[in-house]
Amino acid sequence: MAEIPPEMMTLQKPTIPHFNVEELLYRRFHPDHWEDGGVAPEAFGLPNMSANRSTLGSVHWAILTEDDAFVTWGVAAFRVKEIPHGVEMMHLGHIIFTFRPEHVPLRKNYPHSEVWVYRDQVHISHSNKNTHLLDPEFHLRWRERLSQVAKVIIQPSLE
Amino acid sequence: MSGKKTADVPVGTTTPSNDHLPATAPWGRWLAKLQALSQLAPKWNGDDSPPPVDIAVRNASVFLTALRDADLEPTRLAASAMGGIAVTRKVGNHKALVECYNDGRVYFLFSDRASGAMDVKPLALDREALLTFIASMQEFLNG
Repeated sequence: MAEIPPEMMTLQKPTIPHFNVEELLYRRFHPDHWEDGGVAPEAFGLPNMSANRSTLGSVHWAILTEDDAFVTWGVAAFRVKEIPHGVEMMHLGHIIFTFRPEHVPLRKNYPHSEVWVYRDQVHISHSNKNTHLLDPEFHLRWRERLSQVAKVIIQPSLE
Repeated sequence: MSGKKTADVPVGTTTPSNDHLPATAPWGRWLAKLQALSQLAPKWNGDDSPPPVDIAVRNASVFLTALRDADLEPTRLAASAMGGIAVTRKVGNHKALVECYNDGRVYFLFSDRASGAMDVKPLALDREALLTFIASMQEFLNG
């Protein structure tokens, strides 16, 4: 059982909405998603994809949980500008997708954030029951592109 | 390669079985992997990603069977954070990925990592469409 360091706890710390475009986001990934020294697109999922903020904690916190469930996993990093943030992405000539990082602190993971996706300004999420708005022809391209720019910071343990 | 969901395609069993893939090396390894993926628990990646459901496992099994019949092994088989199963075959910088989603849809990606070029389309899993797809996949991977 791992211990969560006190500085990783949210406690009374504030949510910080501003993201610098150069800030790194850390995404943990399963060893199955290790591909030729990089990370495969299957590691990236929408909507509300979790990632830890580099400005608010260690890269190792992305795989640190009390139950050690992710100790063999890897961690890949990408920059906020690579989501991309604040750019309208046209799909099929008339659908506009946009992305935005959101700081969503968890009680035992202060740096936790999510990549939110919008279709024509409508937030797509499980709670909104509108994940059907995520067209695979769009998200598969987006995830493949993200896998191409992401850098592996922590390699997974391979058996 | 229509955009039709594959849930109504008669493909046999609802779980990976020896009807689709023999439990002999090397294909037995992929069958065992597919069975392991079908047992993933909710929150398997710590997020809201659902584990693969029966239709995704069944469709992945159908595609793996088509690969086996063409004597083309995948290079990776993995759960997808989108919910479903991904089958990848990669040759150098050229990658073909087939993603079988939990809603029954199946899409393929051809990606050239050298040029950045990509092609994404829906994939039907009837025999004729699979034969056509595998021929185009081979052409892309070896091109």
